[in-house]
Amino acid sequence: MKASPRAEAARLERLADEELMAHVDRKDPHAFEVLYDRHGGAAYSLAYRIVGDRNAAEDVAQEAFLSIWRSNARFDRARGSVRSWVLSVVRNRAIDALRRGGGGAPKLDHDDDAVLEARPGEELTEEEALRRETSRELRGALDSLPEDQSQVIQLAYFGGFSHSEIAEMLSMPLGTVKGRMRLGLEKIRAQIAESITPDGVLETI
Amino acid sequence: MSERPDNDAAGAAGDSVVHGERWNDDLAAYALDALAGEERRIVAEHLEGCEPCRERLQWMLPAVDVLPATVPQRQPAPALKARIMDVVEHEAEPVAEPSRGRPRGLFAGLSLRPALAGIGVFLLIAAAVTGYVLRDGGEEPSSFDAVYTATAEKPASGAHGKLMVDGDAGMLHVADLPPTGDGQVYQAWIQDKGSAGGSVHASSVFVVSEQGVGDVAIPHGLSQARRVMITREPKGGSRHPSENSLLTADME
Repeated sequence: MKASPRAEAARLERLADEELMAHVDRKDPHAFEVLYDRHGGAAYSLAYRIVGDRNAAEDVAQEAFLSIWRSNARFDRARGSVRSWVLSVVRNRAIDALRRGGGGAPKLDHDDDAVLEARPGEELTEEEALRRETSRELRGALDSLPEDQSQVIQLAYFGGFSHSEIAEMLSMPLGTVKGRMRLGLEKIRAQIAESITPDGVLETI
Repeated sequence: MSERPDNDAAGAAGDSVVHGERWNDDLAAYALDALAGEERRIVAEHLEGCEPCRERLQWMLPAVDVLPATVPQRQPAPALKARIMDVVEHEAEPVAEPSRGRPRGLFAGLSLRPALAGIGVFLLIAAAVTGYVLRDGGEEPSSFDAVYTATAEKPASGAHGKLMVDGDAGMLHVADLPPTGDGQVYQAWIQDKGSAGGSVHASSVFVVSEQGVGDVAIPHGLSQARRVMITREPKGGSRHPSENSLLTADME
């Protein structure tokens, strides 16, 4: 007997991301909708952080998810979690959009974002509230890095700049830029050690 | 992999420390996607042959993967999901389902596609089956539930047609329809059974040959239909008929 649509939706929602991807690969739109529901918010947030504009961020998120749907981007279990993979696709699209638009260096502070996040009266699901709280904690970890290390990491990841572009921008030797990247990543890695599975994958945050 | 891998051991005796110093900074830049061109290629090639450096990179990657989570979290507009899902549902392959007794014969499969399938899909369906169904009055497949005659609202026009129904789907073959003007197409409409004349739904768009011959697939909606009508519409089709029916197949 075939399950009712509601039961089928409930079943898909209970699947782990990796199991869900098998259904997405088979072009199941319901599975894809669950994938979007889980990661669409994080994807849009990342795109917005990079391109800095609501409409452009929506375009990026749409391009990225349709690329995933059409299997132009393939999930590689060896690379990490589904969420990390989805967000890496979004990041690549957003950086492309930034370069097409001739965008300059991204903003490096979050004051306006902090105000936006604190906006009262907005209804949040428990999961969204948790995601925002986690984001605040992790942002604190990033902000706790020495400014010079945080700066080069953010310019590379959110700005899409190469280490040589960053060296030129900040008027410092190439080796110094790469050294600061390493030190910064090592410190972040130490702070999130408890969220990393034994096989080295970041648990979904 | 909670312990930091020591890739200093990768080099030959005496230069192991040099190995780590040589590559660790590059691996961090590589993990952040901050190497370009030749430098990126060199590191990628080195990784292929250096297990300790691969482990070191794997150890470092979660620090990069966590960066998106440091971003202030926002909610996208619901319209974004609607736009994405519109495309996805349009492009979705029909999911194989156990037979429910209904789809069979020529149109099995056509009627499984969700109602969200767009006009472009209808055109493709029409094109795909045109050569199979009828060719200028050729033989009909025998697996239809019913066949109805389509007649012109103005008999003097000479237009006529035949609607072949298979479950909820069907195929309308038309002949002697006048050529459409530039920027126009023909469009099929389904009028439901029911009180007050029944509501009218847009279906497929199509064009006819110079001889006024054409075929249009109607993927769904016929099981509750009273009649199928044809009008001329602007290219791309319309939501509502913009003129009286030129050709009508009554199904009652």
